[in-house]
Amino acid sequence: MPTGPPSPSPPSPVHPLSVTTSPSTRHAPSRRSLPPSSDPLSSSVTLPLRSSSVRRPAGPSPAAATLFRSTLSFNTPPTTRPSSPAPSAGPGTAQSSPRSIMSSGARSVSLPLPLAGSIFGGGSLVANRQASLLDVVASGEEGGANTTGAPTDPLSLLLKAFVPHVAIHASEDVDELVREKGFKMGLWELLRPFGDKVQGRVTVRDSNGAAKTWEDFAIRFVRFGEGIEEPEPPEPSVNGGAEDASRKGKTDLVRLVERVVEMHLRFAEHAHAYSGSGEDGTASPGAAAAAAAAAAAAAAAAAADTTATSPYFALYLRRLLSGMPVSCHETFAHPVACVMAISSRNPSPIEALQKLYRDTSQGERRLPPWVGADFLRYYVLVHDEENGDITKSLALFEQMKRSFGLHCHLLRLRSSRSVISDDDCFELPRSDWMTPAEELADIEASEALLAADDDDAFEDPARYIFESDATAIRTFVREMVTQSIVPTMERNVSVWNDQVASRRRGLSGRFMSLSKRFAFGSSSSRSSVLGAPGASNTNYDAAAGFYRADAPEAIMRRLADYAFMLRDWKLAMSTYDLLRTDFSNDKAWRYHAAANEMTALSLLIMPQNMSSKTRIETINTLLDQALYSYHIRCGSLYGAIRSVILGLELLRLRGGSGVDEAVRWGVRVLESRLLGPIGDALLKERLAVCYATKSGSGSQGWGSRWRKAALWSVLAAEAWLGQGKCVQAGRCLSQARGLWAKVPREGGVAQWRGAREVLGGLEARVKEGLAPPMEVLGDGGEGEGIEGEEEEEEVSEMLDDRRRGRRQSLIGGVGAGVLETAPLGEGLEEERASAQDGFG
Amino acid sequence: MSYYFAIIGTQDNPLFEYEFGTSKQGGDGQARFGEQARHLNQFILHSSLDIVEELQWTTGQLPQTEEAIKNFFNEVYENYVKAIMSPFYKANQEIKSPIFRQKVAAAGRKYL
Repeated sequence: MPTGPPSPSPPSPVHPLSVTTSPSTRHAPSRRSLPPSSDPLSSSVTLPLRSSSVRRPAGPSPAAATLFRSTLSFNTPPTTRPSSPAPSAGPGTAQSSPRSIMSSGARSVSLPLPLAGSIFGGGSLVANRQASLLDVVASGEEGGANTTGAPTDPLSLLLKAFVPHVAIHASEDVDELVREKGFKMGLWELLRPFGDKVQGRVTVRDSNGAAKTWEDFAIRFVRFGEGIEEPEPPEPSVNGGAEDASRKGKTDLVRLVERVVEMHLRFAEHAHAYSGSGEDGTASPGAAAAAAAAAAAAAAAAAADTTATSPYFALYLRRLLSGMPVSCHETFAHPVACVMAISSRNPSPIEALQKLYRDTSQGERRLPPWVGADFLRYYVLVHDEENGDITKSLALFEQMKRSFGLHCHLLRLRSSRSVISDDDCFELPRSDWMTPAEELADIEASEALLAADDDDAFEDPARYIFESDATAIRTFVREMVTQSIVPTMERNVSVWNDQVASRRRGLSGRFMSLSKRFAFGSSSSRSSVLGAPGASNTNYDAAAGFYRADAPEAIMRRLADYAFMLRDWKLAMSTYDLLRTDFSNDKAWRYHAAANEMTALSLLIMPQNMSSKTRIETINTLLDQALYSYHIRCGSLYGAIRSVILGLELLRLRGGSGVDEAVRWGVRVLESRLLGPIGDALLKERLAVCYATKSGSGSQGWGSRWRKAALWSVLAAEAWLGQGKCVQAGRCLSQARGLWAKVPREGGVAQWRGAREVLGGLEARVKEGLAPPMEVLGDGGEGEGIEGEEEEEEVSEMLDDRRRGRRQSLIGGVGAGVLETAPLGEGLEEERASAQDGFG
Repeated sequence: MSYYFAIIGTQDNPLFEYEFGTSKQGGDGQARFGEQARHLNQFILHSSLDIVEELQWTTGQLPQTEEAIKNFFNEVYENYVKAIMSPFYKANQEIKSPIFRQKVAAAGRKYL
């Protein structure tokens, strides 16, 4: 019996339902993507851009534009394709830009708070204390913070990063079938984007039995047995050389993230130069022009909304979080469930499933001893709608249900390939959660094609499937999550909480660590670790550097991680907190660091019941321990950066004195030089956003940090210039101007001679960097001036700055010059109009 | 140790700027800012107005600082009041008096 304990609930009625629904929806004439004319990214694919007379060495290729969509589409009109395959209410209303969400949210909430209590953060802190961070952010009390709904908002990124991982282990015939549909990597590639958002609401019960409903539940599909990071024995004194090597390995992920973001930035720079060179932009609106327009729109928006999350920072964070390896010290990336799929083509289906099962539990491909092997097995029969016999498949499916229990699904897919000209085609978006290595490989492959200069080799990276397939997969994912994965996790949480964690929480447990209790008391799996040196009373295998999956500490860690993924912050926090001391006693530093990190994060998210001073002190201690253990004791750059950046973001969202604390952490990271050059500049930009978040009160804005925010913007601009990223530097400078303009004083920092000179110098460098090279400046440049000025006025009208005269200088001019070539002109106007409405 | 001292008007405008170094422990009273630090001085000073303003409207007190700095501030303030009592001085005007500058320098030598 390979499944878990048989569930007492009756067989669900949804299985037949899913079978019957798909044919009815198949002929629905719904193409999710809009006509090509309104979508610059798709239309650009066919443009003869590369054959133009003006060619730059590594100019942005139109096909490549789709690769950079994650940063490009930021602030483009909301009418581009939906980024998630989950169905939306309607094509037009489904998505709106982060900015308009924010502004409408800010308007709808009349702020009752600011004058209550101490006006500087104290009052709002009192009010926020009883609410979890999610509620705080969702209710819009958080001055200018982004809403959770915005795709780039760090809190929603965090929630979507720590989600249950579902391994996929498919038989050869399934992968063959999916390959015929155009997915080279098999079932995993097809299912993956559908995990980014589970359709509909998901209800989760916490440890007290209270149900809570989430709109944005997600899971992550991974390939079975991939991305496993071996634990390292933490013995720096014995093998110093090896330690250096491992240290180098640790930084790899961070370096990859940096390189991905670097590619995106470079693309933006090229796109800018390309459109700025006057290359018949108006006649053939290419991807490059679209990119530049988007960048200009983002720049204009950034100046108006100083707390918007930069798309590059969001990308950095997302890639940092999406590369989470399967490691021993945290179980987020461990599979919660494993999908075992066979197809209707398989001659001996039940045997095939048994073989798949054996693969995951024994044999070469089984997971290491520190990964719990008792994860849920979910059996899927993929039915080939075009060649298979449905009665046979249904019979087989019944048989599967009899032998394997309830965790089964019949997935009906068409085996032929869908193309864009099909009536009911659906463009499968790229997953938001590609690992940095994958994205890098994609970009490099496209650049290699470009370098080869082979026009025929252009391959549209877009993949299409039939609408009916998309519906079937959505139903499958939803059913698996709501009926199998979430209930299983809930059950595990409650069982582990009763059997393991409660003992530790009891009176005697408080005085004795788990290892000791189990050593003297109950019948546990102590024998397995006796070989470890100095293991007289610990479950920690110090020589190998891990706890076995069945050790109580490892189970507690899984309990806490499950609770965190199910968003039961309180249970998660208390469990992590217990573990911290155990890990510290065992000198399991990597575990210790991770437990500290997660204690801090869950403490920050959960409703607050401490005074703000104690709270901040506690969180500082936790983050400090996490940083020290990760960085100094384990040499894990990745862990160090992740813990501090996430802590910083959550502190920022807490507002009040949390903002100052957040910046202090940021400065600490900058000073300890954990980040590479890209991360360094991004973090400086981010600190500006942090300070800009802190809202003052009264007509004078007392207690705000606009001047400080502007200072960080200038520092960021300087950092970008040092790397030749002029577009980005220009954006930072204009942001700084916007911030100074908010201070109710005449003149700002420009009254200081030294500062004025520095600013002038920076601007000159930006201008120099952005100016199109003289030799390619053709006659296209002539007409630009007039139109550019018109645009310029529009931009400054939109920004309701008190000192807009200043903005007429170079930055506005540059942005406007780019806008002029925009193919999105109309869309941008609409966007602006809606934004203005939002601000009232 | 190098110091950068400024008096700031009501519109964030500089009224008086003075750079000097410590005269204690064998210092020669010359400012030695690195190139990197020097060009940021004004930005940092300007941005710290956020904090000053907040304190001004909440507690109304300056945070506890070193005794030496406090004494220095007191002496400079006394001279500042005397300087702006000049009938030719208008509010928010830059203070150009060489005597005032000398007195600030003297206070700096004395306390810092």
